[in-house]
Amino acid sequence: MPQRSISLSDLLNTKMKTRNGVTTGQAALAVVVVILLAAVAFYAVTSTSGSSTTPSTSTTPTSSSTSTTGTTSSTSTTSTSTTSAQAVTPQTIVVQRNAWSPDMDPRETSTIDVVQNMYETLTYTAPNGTVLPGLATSWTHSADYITWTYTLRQGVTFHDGTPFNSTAVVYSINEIVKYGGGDAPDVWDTFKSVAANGPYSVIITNTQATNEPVVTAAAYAAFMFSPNIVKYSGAANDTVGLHSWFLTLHDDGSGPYMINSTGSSISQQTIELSAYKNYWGGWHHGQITSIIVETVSNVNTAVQYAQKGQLDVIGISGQYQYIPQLLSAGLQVKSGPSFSAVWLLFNNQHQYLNNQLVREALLTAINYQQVVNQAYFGYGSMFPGIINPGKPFYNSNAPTYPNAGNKTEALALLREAGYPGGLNVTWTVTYSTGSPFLGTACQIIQTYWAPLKVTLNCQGEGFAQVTKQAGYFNQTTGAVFEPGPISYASTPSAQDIVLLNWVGATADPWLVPDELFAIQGAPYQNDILFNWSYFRNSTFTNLLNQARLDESNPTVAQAEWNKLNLMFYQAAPGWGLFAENQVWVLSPHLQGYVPNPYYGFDYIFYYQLTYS
Amino acid sequence: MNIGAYVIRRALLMVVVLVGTITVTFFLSHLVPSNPAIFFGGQNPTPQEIQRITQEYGFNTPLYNQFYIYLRDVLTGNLGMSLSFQLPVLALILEGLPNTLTLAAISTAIALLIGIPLGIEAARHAGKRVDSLLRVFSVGFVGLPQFWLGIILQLVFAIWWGILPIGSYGGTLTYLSFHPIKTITGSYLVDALLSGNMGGFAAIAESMILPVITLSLYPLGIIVRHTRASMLATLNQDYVRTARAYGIPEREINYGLAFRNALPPVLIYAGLIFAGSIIGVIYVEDVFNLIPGIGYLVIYGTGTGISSSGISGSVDTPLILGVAIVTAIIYALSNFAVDLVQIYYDRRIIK
Repeated sequence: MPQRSISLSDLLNTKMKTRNGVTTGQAALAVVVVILLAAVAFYAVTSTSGSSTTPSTSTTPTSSSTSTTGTTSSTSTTSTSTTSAQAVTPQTIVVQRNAWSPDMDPRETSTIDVVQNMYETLTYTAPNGTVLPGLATSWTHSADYITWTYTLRQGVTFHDGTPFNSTAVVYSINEIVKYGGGDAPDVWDTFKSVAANGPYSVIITNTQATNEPVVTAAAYAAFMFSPNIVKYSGAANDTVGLHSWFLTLHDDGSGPYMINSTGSSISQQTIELSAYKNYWGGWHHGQITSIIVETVSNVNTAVQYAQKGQLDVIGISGQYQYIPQLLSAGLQVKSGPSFSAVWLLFNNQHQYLNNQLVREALLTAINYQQVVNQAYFGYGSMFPGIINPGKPFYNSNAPTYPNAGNKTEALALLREAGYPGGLNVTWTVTYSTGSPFLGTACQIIQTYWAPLKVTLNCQGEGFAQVTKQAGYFNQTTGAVFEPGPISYASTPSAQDIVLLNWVGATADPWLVPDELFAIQGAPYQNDILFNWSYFRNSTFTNLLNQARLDESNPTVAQAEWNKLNLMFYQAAPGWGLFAENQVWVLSPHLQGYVPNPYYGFDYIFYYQLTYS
Repeated sequence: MNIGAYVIRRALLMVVVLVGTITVTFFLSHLVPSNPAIFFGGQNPTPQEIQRITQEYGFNTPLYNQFYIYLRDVLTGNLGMSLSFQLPVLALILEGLPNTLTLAAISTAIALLIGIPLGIEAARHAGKRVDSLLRVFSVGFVGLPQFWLGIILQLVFAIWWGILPIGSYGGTLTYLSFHPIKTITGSYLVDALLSGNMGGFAAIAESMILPVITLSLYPLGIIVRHTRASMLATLNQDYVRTARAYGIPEREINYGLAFRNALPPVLIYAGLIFAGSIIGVIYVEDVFNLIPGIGYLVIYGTGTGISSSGISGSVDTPLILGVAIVTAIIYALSNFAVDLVQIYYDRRIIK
């Protein structure tokens, strides 16, 4: 007890022990202090030399004239370099990735921002939607659009020197389909077979009419790779073993860049790409020969690095409040359209929201322009209809709601619906905290719905929680992303409204409306997947599926899409608030970036860039 | 009870705590709505795809069965595969732990080296201006959120004044790519020192200044407050008055006699602070981009680092469990070490 009395002998005894203890403690502390002081002193002495060993990055234009077309030989030395002067040339850039991913498996990866620089596809979609030759130089199709014959490019080699030919194409497509990972099932859902038709020709057969050049130009799950990978991976006939080989940062594509295994490090979350000297497209002065991909998950920190010139490319994930300071630091901010959009989905099964006129009134009241300006700092645009702008069959003249909103008209619609005094209701709006700007959007919408006597409870959650509240979960195990019964939608547990930041896996205009507003095909016709509006209109769904089938007949398909746009506008199960622009922040030295919404979130093809 | 029995009892208690932690974290982590299968499904995975992966990896077996398998694996040193990194959890943790422990140890040491003398001074001058001043600072340090402090220090010292690096071991994003450090312990700072790479040591030490300040201010405040309180309680004891009556010098009373008896409660906090720094590191490693480290693993494991598009994002359960277990082990070992040190100072606690 603290109040215990102490005798003199105790005291003396304690004192002696104390002295011993303190002596030991002092000795230990003294050692620590001496070490620290020595370290500080050493640092003070060596700090000058220490800072001079810091490598110069691309923003330090050292010996800019040393490297011309001999780019490949200079990059091959990068991996073995130990000094900054030799290692870092003006053609090296450092780019940010906000999450580490070692998934370099071309069959299924979604890390295409890296992989699309190492692998190529048979065809390539230009930013305007035109499908251009890639590894295939031309193609023809049967009258029914089921069978497609591709002529392959000659003189192309993979990074190990293996020639690209029909064997490689047959192997790649079969391997992608067999593995069935990522977006492969979506991309190749009509695929039947692929066969060689001579050394530089292949025939792809489908189960139904297919716009095959669009499929072979897919951003995901359509890359060509060398059949030799099984030899390197030691994983013949073992797709999972092959996957492990890719995960340990290996590649064997035909693209302009290859993984530099010496410069890459899983523990440091760094991937280094260097130029493939025999790339069929050739190389010219000023192109980037080495790309160091660094993981910086904190956007604020990435912005600081960019301002200090340590990062040449950053993506700021919708956090566009940083743009003014980046611009004032002399960086370039490049913005381009993407196929991602913010969607508002009404719960069409809940009270009031099951009334079409009410939904129309709500959509009429919103000031969309203000939502874009405040929530997304103006980096987006309103779009009419159900197709993202830029995709095939998009129609800028489709019916739409007023950009600035119209309160009078909204109140009139409510009166017509039988609610002259407003709705007097409180609704829950869910959104993913992964997209924090959706919370701002919710607050803005709240102000425009207040005159309709609607109060919103804006509820940001993890995406898995949003998914669960939407009913896309297994009722028995609770596991999300497993189909749940449609009956859940009408229960109070389901959200009233969800705000969703959504991009389709392919550029097919059918995909997003199918996911968000259609009744799913068997066996999921009575289940909840991603249709969180719970809109169940079989006429709409059938027409949507028909429009997909008719894509090869543009006149018919366009008429069907126009009808779908009108149905969507009138039924108003939800609405696209705005199409997002993808924003990249680039070093002032980098030129040549052209946004291409067909490739993920406008991911950059580094081969197109030049350094000046 | 003798010392041996006491130590064995504490060690057994530590094992119970660890098993309890594993059990609680396992079941808690499975309350979070999440399906790890979506990690493998790419963007917008199809239901068929998710179903296939769920079965392939056994995510659909009953929870108690998953727990049994997990416990068995943990006891054999197998923490499973990380779903987001697709690498063994144990390897990931062992890779990150040395750097994280280095940060935590330096921060705790600094907090103790500065905090204890300041606490003693505050107690010696209780109620006076020095005490008030120290109180303002120590309470202020405790009140500063670490993630905020890190950003502010970064802004002031790295951006405005440019005298310290923004972050990353070595001071630039590419430093370690071009200046590799021979791996000995796995801690960049220690390895640079051990391998005689003084340029690397200086660069890495420089890059750790702001993270260490960020991490140590909070425990510094705590240590100052607790040392002060503990010292005050001791200085008011009868035996201190008696010591003064015997003419023992004031300095010896403060730093020797009283401090010795005031130290055990402070040590308890020191152990907890060291272990707690492992948690504080999560923010610090994120803000200062210190890779590899335990903090980064947590950032990804909770799915926050995955949702760049706002579309995907799920909990990497094996990774989170692995980090939780390792953190629990560090907590338990820290407490165990504190217990042993306390015995050294005060045998009465074993009675």
